[in-house]
Amino acid sequence: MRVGLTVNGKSEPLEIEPGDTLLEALRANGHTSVKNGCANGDCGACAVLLDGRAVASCLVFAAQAEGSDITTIDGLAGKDSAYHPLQQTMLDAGGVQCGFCIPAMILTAADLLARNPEPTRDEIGSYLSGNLCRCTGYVKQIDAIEMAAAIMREGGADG
Amino acid sequence: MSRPGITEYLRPESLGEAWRSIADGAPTVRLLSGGSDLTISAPPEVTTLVDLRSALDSTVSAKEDGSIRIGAGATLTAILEHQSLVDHAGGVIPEMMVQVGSPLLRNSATIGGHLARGRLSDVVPVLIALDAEVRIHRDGVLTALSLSRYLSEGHNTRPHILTEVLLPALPASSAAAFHRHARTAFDFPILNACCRVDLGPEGVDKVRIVCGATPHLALRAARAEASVMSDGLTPSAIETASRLAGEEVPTGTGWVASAEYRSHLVEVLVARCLTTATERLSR
Amino acid sequence: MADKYEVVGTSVHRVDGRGLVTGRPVFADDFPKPVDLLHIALLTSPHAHARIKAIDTTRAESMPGVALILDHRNTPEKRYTTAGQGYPEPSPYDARMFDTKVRWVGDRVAAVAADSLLEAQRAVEAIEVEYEVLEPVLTIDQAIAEGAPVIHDEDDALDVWDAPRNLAAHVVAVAGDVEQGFAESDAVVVVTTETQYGQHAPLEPHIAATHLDENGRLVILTSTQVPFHVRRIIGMLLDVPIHRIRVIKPRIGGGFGVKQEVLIEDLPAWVTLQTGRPAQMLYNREQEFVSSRTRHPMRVRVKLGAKADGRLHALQMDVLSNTGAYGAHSLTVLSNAGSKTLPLYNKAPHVRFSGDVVYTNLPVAGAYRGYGATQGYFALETAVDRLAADLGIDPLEWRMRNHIREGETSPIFAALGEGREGVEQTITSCALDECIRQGAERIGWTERRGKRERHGSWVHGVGMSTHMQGSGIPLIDMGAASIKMNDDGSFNLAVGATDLGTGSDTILGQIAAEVLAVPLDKIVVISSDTDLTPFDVGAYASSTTYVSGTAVARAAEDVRAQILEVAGDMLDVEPGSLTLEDERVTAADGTSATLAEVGIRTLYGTEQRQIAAIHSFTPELSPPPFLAAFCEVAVDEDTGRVVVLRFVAAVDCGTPINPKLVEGQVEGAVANGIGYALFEEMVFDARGRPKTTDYARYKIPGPEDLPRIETILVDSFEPTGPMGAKSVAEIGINAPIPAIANAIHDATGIWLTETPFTAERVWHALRSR
Repeated sequence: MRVGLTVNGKSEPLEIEPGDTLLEALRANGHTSVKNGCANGDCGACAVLLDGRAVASCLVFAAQAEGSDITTIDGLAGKDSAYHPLQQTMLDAGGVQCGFCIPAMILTAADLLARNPEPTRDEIGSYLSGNLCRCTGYVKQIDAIEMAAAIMREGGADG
Repeated sequence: MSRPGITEYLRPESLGEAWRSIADGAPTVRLLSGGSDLTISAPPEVTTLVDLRSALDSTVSAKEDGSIRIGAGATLTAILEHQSLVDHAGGVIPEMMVQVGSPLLRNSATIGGHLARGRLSDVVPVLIALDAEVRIHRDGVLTALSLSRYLSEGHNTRPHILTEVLLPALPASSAAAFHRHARTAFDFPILNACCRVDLGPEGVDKVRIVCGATPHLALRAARAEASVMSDGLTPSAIETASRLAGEEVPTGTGWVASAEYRSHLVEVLVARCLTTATERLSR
Repeated sequence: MADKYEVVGTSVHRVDGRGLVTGRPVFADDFPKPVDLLHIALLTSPHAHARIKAIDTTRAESMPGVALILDHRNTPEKRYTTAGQGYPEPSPYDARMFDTKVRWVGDRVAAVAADSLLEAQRAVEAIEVEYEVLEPVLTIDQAIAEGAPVIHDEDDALDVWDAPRNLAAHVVAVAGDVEQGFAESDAVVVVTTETQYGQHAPLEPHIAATHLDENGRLVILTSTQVPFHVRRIIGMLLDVPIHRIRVIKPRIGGGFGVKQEVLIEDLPAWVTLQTGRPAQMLYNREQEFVSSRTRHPMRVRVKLGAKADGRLHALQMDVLSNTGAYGAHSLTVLSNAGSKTLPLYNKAPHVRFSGDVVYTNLPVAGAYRGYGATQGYFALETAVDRLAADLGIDPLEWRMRNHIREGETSPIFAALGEGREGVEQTITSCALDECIRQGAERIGWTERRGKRERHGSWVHGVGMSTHMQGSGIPLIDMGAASIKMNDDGSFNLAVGATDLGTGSDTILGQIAAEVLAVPLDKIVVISSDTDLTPFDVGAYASSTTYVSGTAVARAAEDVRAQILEVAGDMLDVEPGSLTLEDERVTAADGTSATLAEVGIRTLYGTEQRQIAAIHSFTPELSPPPFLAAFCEVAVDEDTGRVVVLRFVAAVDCGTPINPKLVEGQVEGAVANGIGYALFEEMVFDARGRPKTTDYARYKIPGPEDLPRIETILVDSFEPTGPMGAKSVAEIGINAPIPAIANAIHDATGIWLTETPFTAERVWHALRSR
């Protein structure tokens, strides 16, 4: 079946099977930043923003996403390939090791900060509870999100 | 993985249209709400998905009489964040909901899908403690019944569309509390409990002590409830009630916990819920 | 210490960071797929122990999209080991690509290559297999029992210690006479601990993709820690000359040892060789849990004998290790349980280590960060606390008095190597005292120990443990690096060393940048391509910083000397009088030449040459990093739940080349160790079938399950290491189990000897107090 997805503001018509998940459809259409870590809703590496809210794309059928705005990590960057504050701070703080969980974690953090611009470390940890990382122990990732939140509160975000 | 057996995707615009897709009870047709269940556990025989997004209401609203209406299409996050639910019964709903799954899961799972699935749940014991009702649509007829009956009478195993959840208004002095035990923060429950108490001029007017993941979905501890009704909520009465709950609620052994430990948890969690609910009542 | 360097010792951004935070397609499954790609699905055994009597693939062969079906009848029969180790691998050659016997639920039976994964899976379901089901062996005790079923009864396996008794390996190492030692001791304690099956659970499962290039060479793109071992082992197994194989490692999504294995590359490689078509094998999450590798469950018995003043006099460790169905890494992990633990307390003249590895019909254990030391330290470090308690000595004091120091040695270094005799060594740097002191201060050891602070049903406790590890395998590991200079004064650094997310590309680049006096972005790092980069054993044994780093430093020194030689010609001075700083070579009289000017001259000017060097390094020592861990736990006495409130890891890793990356290694290792201590467990049913086959059932820690892990980088300098560095990658994972166990004892008085410390387990122990 044909579905019309809107990904990062662009219209992307796709030919899919009705049973395809959004994760599969996105990866098949070149959005390889959306990772398959388990395809079972347990690890969060497939997270994207659906109408601004972070969801596990393996838990959503592609057809369900028609009419919604999907944001992947590509949709977060600033103009002229400048980093979004969350990308910058994730590097500054040392929160990136293997990087497999990172696009999803940044998107989920963006969802959090849109709703709660000044989260405590506990609130950050709670909102990221579904984004597993096996490399870092989350210490520097939470550092990074705190730092980005501060930058964004001072008006440093460009979307 | 995708469900390769699924060949048809329908998007009815109305409840009636949705009903017609499932009326004959064919096991090959499934109602789709949030999607978090069917994407990973649709049985192999399922060929048709019926997306209820346009047919279901997904809003939460407080009614004038103090009751709260939750559209079946509301996500668990919408429930967690809605203002009118935040303070209901002393804050038990966000207290429970923030422990359910993860934000990613809550952002797409819907209450209708969750209840219709009727398996291992932190939500169900709380809703039962709050005397929640559901509305179900069958062939143009809307029926209201308690969530308890919906589950115990197996309504979720016959063709129906759950359209809303209703939380009855609570008296002025009413509070509930919820506790769960799991291995980690993002984990299915090993055992959970919810206690709700209404106070009247003479003392305890109503009490609900509900245990879930025992591994049963939700069981009321009737003798423990009777004990609270008669003896109140002093620390020693709470101790007695929770001990009774630990004795009467049947628990099972699984690979993640033994029945003996679960029964012990019933006692501990019921005591904690009753203590917290009592504290909330006095505020 | 680190401020004498410009680039080394700074937390510069990782060189691969941009691609990772922008989600560029850098992992193996991200690259565009060729249209004729064959996808591979596996048929694995439903039985823990069975013979394959017959396989009928006729129906499957005729199904749509199917190109090739593999089973024992049409694939190489050679025995080999999948362990990614140097040649000759110190692991039994007990595996076959497809065997006529299956030895665990998850063992290979057949594979289908088809045009799509769905078609391959459908064909797998159509394969008919007749099994003769055999009695399974599901525990260590069953394996060694008299008359136990023999798991490896094949007649062509090599280097199995005693197959009829299900023993894959056996090790004994002795110094002095422990019986005499215990007889002479004033206090003796015995502790036996058991650790569980755990899995690495990297977010990216195993994946390998193969194709024939335009010259017919086999190219293997694989998520691996050991590209050169993959090349050699695949070449040997599939009978392809090494020079006809190229192995490339892209970005990988975590390894932790599970990818120190030639696990799946043979399948797409064989398919490509047979069909000429590109092929890919990608494990799903269930296969990653069941059919890859795990940690070795171990039963470890430690006996300590000490004099009344606390001085350790006799030390004995006996190990029973469960390697699962095949023996990859069985001997070496067993050896490390002793070699990375016992030397820590070198005061005892009487030391004995013995161990056996048993086969069982369960998932195959392999390399997992810590590599035996994790299991050994549980017994050792809790035995130390018990001994200290019996002697009435503060366990911190006991460790201060007994741990190894600079200039000292232990007989275990020579007696216990990686599957062979070890290498004698003397400690050349040890700041463990300082680690203990700073860690103790940070946690508030004197103030909090023994206080049993209560908050409702929660009681608090504080515990500690100390550790050493190693920095590579002496005389065995080898890493090489080549550096060439470009026109603009930048350099290409090619290393075989493998970055699995650890940041080795970055720190190796920093070492080169330091020597060549350029910023890091003037070093272009290329790694882990067997065609383009020099040899390296790969990322394991905590070797990259020390071994590969030294090779890089030597190559950079060589290049630097060549630069000075050319600059000397340009400036007409002796090279020895020149300084190289900030990308510029300067003479005593102030005249100078930039590196770019040197570059242009050497490529286009006069006496043209390519300034370049290649150097290798095989260490003679394995200077251990040291770590002192301190943790505070809260135990809910009503439910048995244990929460780690604080975890402090004070580390001596010599010079931290990149402090934030070093901290990241410690934090990640500690987090993994906390998970293994408290929540992680692979569970099997009575027939050996795994129940914990996804992240929902096998719980790794999330952000709310961990404290904010605190790392203290203690000042230290290893004279034999590059810029004074040692390793750091593994040591952190060994600390949580014993530190938490010791803290739980401080809080409650109970001694736990079995992991994980689940709430139910703790509750039972509390009740039996």
